[in-house]
Amino acid sequence: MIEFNQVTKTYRKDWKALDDLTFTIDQGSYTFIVGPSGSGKSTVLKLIYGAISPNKGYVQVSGFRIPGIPKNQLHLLRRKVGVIFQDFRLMEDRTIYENIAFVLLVTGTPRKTIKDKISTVLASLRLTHKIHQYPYQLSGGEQQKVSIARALVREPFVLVADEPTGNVDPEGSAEIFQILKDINSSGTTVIMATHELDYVKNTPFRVISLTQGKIVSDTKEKRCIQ
Amino acid sequence: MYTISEALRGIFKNKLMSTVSMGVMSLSLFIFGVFIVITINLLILINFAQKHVQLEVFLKDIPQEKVQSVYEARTDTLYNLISAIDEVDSVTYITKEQALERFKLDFPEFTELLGPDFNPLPASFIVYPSPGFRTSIYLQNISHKIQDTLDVSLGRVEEISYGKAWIDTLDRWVKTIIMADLITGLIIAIASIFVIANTIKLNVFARREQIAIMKLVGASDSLVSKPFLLEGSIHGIFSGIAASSALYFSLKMLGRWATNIAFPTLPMFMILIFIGFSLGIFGSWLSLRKYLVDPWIDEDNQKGDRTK
Repeated sequence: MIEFNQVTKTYRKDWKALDDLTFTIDQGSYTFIVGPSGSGKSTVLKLIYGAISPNKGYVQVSGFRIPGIPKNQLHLLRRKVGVIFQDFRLMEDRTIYENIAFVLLVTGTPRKTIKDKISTVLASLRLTHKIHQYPYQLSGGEQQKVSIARALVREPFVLVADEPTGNVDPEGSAEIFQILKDINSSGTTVIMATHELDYVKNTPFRVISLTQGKIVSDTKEKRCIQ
Repeated sequence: MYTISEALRGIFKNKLMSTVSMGVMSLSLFIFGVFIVITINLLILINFAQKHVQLEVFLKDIPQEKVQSVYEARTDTLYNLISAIDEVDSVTYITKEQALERFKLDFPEFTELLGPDFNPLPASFIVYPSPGFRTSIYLQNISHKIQDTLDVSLGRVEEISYGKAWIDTLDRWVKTIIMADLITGLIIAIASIFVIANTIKLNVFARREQIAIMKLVGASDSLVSKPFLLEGSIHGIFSGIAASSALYFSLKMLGRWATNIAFPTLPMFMILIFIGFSLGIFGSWLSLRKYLVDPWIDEDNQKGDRTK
């Protein structure tokens, strides 16, 4: 479970990106976080993978509390959270195999296991034929799939996606949405920030809408009220 | 294994940056090496000049034949006592006859003035101070020790002399030269460290994105750092080898012009490689610190709850 407890995040002293935010996300759920630019979507996700720390309140992620997590344990939190970025953040000087292998190498996974895991994850995303190519040789959609593979290969308990379709064409976007849905079906918690409201409109999943750092609607809450 | 392969990847995938880093480091170490060679040769020159710093202890003539053996025994005792002084490196005994021979060699034109059996020259000890004690202050100390302490009961010393004026001049020159050398060395060392540190910083800066990605996917600081530190030390070692080889071959190319220049080959290689290695590893560590930190963590931990 992920818990936001009265979280306020301020940038540059007086600009509130999040204002007294409180909500929880259940294990195995799929949650969309929507809202206009500057509403605080990315800030919510950054708090989950420990890229920033709240000014007030706290965020609890799988036994880690921010603030409060010791500096030398931050990498342990990041090993449990899979992150997908809008700009992919792949290492340009490494092949697809090497990019994915890196996240397993850092946890000391044996090379034989790494090979097997990468084969499996790339096959599930239909990317096996790209294994020895470099990120710049791939389309936006393919690069995002590599980024998903990198996040998935370590079997994270939560997958955080920050505008994952922002740099992908519409066809690729649909595929990414479907992949994330499949990942969630297999039991992984997925939290996705997006501005593509068409995909969210009729979704059966929870949608949290933010404006100026506050929750303006939460479909889970609605259901509870109904 | 991971560290080694990552470090080698860093070197070979970033050929341009690696070449620039090693080029700048090699050049800086070469300049520093030239300075070390100059310093070594200056010290040799100074040592050569200072070897001429000596004290002459003139001994009294033995008054009568019958007490000769007593006086000779006292002379031997004095010789042993002077040799045992801490500041004294060695002592040479010059007999009256040897003194006359020397006089004849040095001043052949006056030889005729001396009769066949006339030798007015006294026997003496030539006292050579140890390195580091070759200034007039130490010579004065040694002189006092000999005349006022050791010879009190022996009564063998007639006079002690040393060229105070020229020793003082030499001492002033040595101090000036060493000071100038130290200042030059300091300037070269600071400039080299500055240039090398900035080159390494540039190398790390070029890969800051990669460091950020590594951290975001869960690499610990030490895991990110180790390959960079190894890479820095490899750059340093190779730069040290390049700089010392360049020095060695430069002296070879100078040929007969450089025959008198002292160049301790093995120590020079070892010193420059060691400096290169140290600067490489330390510079990398300093540069990395900036890109490894999560600036908010320390600050927030102080005010936040430390429980997980």
